[in-house]
Amino acid sequence: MINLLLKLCSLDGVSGCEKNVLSFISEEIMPFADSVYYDRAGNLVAFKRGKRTPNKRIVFAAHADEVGLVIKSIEEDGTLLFDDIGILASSLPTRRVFVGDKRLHGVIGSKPIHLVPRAERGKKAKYEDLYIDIGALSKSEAEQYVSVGDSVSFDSECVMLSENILKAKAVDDRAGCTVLINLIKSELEYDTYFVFTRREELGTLGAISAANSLKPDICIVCESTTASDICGTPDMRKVVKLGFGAAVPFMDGGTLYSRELYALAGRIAEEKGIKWQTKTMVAGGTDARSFQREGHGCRVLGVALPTRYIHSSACVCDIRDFYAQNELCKELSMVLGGLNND
Amino acid sequence: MTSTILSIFEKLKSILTVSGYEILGAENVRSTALEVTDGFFSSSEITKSGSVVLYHKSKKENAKTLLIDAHIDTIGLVVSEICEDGFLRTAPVGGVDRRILTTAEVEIFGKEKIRGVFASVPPHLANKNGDDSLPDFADFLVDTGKARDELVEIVSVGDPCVFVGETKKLLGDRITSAHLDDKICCAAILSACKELSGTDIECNVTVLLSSGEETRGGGALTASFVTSADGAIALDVNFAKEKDVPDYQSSKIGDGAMISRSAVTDRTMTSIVEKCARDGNVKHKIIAEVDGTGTNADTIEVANMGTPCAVLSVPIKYMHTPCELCSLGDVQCVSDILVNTMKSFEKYANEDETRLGIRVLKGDIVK
Repeated sequence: MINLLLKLCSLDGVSGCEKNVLSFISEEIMPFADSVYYDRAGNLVAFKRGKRTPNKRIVFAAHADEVGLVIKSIEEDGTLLFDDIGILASSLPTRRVFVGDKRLHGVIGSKPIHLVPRAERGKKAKYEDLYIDIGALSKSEAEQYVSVGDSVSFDSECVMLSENILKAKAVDDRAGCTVLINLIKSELEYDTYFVFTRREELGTLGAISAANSLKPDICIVCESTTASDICGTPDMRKVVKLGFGAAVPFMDGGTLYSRELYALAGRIAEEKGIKWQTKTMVAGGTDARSFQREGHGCRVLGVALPTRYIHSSACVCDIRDFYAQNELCKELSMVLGGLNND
Repeated sequence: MTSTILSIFEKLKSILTVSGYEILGAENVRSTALEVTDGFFSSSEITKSGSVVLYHKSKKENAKTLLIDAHIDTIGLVVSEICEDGFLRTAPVGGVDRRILTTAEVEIFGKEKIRGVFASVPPHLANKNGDDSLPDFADFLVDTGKARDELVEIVSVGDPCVFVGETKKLLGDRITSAHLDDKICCAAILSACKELSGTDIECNVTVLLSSGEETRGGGALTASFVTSADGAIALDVNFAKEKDVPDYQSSKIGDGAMISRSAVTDRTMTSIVEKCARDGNVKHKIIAEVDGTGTNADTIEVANMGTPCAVLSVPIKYMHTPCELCSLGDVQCVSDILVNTMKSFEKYANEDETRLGIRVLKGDIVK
């Protein structure tokens, strides 16, 4: 199970360029699902029959895209200017990246400390000062390899920092994708739909068309969520903590989750001895907000993996929380079809 | 040939030599240097400050001695506190820019080598000044992913750390890596020595892989009391042209070696290096660094009884970061100039125009 997560994290799929990730997932689920297709917006949809057919449509969703950069200009000196998709400028100086489909190695330049004027020292990095260097000596050399619009992802290997703590890029949301794949591979109680959405990091866009075409009654969004449990942070600001189980929010910056499903998730977790926690800050947003509002609207629930440094090259998460996320989703899949319709 | 330089660089890079901790890696540096130079050196020693000194003895009697220096130490970090929940506080060793810290990855050398990630600074510390200034260095913690109990068994206050910066090939002959400063110059020197091994060069050559350059130059200073040379070349990295870096302060990547002219280094020795570059048609740029070069040359020039010293350098971008960037062709130029200098030093150092060493005009020198 962990190997599948590592493999998915190592694939590049910046918002808008999720092809590699979706094609890997499709191959992975093809033998297990009853139908697999790309919808018109390019989301990957799968359907799998369970032992029973419920009187409602249950959809599990995870987004396939990840944060990254897009090249916007090739400069005379061969360096590349970029725009970001979901990344804080402060985490970018000197990070390693892959540029474009050819995965050229590049670095995000940062002026030597020796040459930074005294007045500017100790100032935060600003986007307008950042650029990518692929070693090109001129614009014409760079243009042979790179085009404006090419996407850029982090070059960041998966490393186990300790027995249970993983460092990788794109944990957000390959963890959720892995949960869905595992469900599809398992025997299901109820007929269930799955969607691997695109463009979540651009504002939960892929989920809009997925919601409109799938029209779920219940949607479980499997996500990663910000853990701010860094030493020195007051407890009230930690949001969620690594090692304290799957995160089930009652509300975030985009969604008021179904009270009923929230209560159900908590009850099941307690019953089955699955560690869970809720988010102690109302922040962030997931595909749930699109599913809640589009189609004919639906009841939504989030089951997320607490992740530190979530929109960076080095996400850090606890594998035990990932297992809890998987188990809780599995248990939910066993009962959701039997819920009343109101 | 650039593949030789790169493979020597990788060997040296794998040895931990954070400034102040060189002695831990010194034996490994020495054996690596001897191994890659095919018998060029006849003897070697490790100084008390962790510098490695390697000697090539000429067959010629009373031959002049050329000292070639590059520093083996690197910038890094040192653990200053083991905090709660598996986080470490660190302090910089050498010049480290706080801008690069958030999510930078590190290796921590405790009882075993472990990995860590610089955590993002919590919002209440990140914006405590309410402006665009960065938090204090001490507010950036390293996340080791380990429980405190486990961590204290492995890591102690004072343990060294380095930034993770694997070597990757970029376009053309460009590479990016941590610690090009100054191990790429150490590699250029050893590659030049390897090239000359088995040939007769007239001068004696002393190679100094010095400690402590990133923290005040103590290695070159103390080594001057064990090496005695007629002329010296300090090799270091210099600024490559980047955005907002003036041309006069830098050289473009791909434009070859850099040779510094400075008031604090020796003009005669510098002119010998320049001649040797021109003799071999080796690409180079002359750069003026008037009141100091920021390299070991400033020390070597005056340490002990003084040694005329020149500065030869490899232009790199993003100095003191885990993604330093250089052209291997430029490094090869530096190595080629060194080869020419070793071949011609004896000749030039004895010619009137570029004579080096003590010149007695009358009577005896003071003993």
